[in-house]
Amino acid sequence: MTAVDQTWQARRTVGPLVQTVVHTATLLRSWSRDPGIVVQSVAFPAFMLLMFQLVFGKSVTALGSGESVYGNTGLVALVGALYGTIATAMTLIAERDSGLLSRMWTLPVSRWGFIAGRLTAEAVRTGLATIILFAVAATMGFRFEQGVASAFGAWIVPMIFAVGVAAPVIALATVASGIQSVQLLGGVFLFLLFFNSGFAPVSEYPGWLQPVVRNQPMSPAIDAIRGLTEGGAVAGPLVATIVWTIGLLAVFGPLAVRGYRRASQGS
Amino acid sequence: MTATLVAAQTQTPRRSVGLVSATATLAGQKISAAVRGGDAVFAMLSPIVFFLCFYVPLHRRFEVAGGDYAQFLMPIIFLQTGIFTAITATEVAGADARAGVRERLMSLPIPRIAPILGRMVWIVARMCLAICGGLIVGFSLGFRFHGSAGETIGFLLLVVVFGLALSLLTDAAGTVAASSLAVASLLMIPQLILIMASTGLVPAASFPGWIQPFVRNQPLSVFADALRALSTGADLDPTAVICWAVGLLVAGGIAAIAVARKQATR
Repeated sequence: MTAVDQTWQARRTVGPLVQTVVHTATLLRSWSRDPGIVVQSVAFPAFMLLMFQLVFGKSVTALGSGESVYGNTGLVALVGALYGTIATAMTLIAERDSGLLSRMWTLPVSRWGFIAGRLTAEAVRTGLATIILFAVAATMGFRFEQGVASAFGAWIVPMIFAVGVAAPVIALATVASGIQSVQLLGGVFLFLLFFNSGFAPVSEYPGWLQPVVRNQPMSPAIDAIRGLTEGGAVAGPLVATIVWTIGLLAVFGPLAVRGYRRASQGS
Repeated sequence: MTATLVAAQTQTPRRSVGLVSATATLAGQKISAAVRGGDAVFAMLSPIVFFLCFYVPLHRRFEVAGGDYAQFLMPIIFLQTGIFTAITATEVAGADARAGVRERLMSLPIPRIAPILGRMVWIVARMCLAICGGLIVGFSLGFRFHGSAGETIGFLLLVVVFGLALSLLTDAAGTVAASSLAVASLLMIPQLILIMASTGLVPAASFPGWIQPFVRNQPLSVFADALRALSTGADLDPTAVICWAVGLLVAGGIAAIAVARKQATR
């Protein structure tokens, strides 16, 4: 033992689990203070559910594919995940440009832990927003008809979805030159929002478009939430949701990690 | 003393720039910034995207009861574009305020009103781009002007006036707000309520009874009904829509003047 070791504590690596928890908690605290993120992930979805029910509630229920509130609640929970991710991506760009990422990069932590922390934070943010949304939906006739275990499942589905969509958004945000391209992604998400099995029954879309509507990432997740609350098929939609998330992570996860590395090293 | 006098004599006297040329320069700068930043493309694409997003899933359901959904939907798409233009105006004015552009412009010998006029010229241009985009998609799916030439001009004018009047208000809000981005994201909620709970997407009768009085009489329904009457050539009492349009313009003008005065006496 040398003298240095006795006066200085040795610099030790932080375990990935501790790092993920700390990073997640940091992100969640800073997001909770950003009015843009709070509006996009909590307030806007709540109002959107209210409006969808008011405007389309009667006519969707009349089409005979179940009570409209179940499809709309599933849809809007996912909308909160989608647009909340865009809002958090804006803060990621700000963190990159202000040099915060570069400073964190010098810490003795594992590299992928940053992405893990961010994805966990997205999942927790979505989970919290979903609880609030379910409470709002309950005032409009939304009930957990299938019991407690299924209710828990319905709460988990938006979180799985959030992890999947966050990967491409993070990958884009780390390489984007400005916030414009991320906002452009908001335009793409608009199509996802209107062309799915929750906004209108799939039979309402033109025939050639129906396979796309039925299989885009939001539709299986909406069907799974509907199945776990109102009743109906669960296994198929749930598997499709998980496959979408794994696929998005497999394709965009490495890109996000590489983008994160590049953004942190400032090159 | 003498030195300054000599300097004054040799320099060209500082002359003030006329309102038209100052406004044209500032408007040109805003327009080229929007073209470079991609907002010009955005302005033209957004009515197309929204039209398709509402038309494709909803038109079958609507047309079961008779009627043409493209004809019905067109007005609210233009009104929504007007609101989004106004939300963009918040961010543009806020960016100018943060970057100190306004302070520097105030030191120039230009009319005090030229900067806001310049921004509003871009707003009018943006609305015209949006009308082009909207009419392309509307016409290809069955929207037509059935009224007289005068009514068609009235339709287009009313759309531009709506966007302009709202933008005057939000321009003032963006100039004074601490965070114009937060204002812009907060404005999304009244936008959502006014667009959805109006007679623009579905007729008032498809709403629950308790909210129908609001749906029938809120300003967006007033504008949507007037635009629909102008495009189909139907008769409609224009008093309400004229009151709203003039009222919004006056409110926007007062807000712009109030903000300008506050800035000048700072």
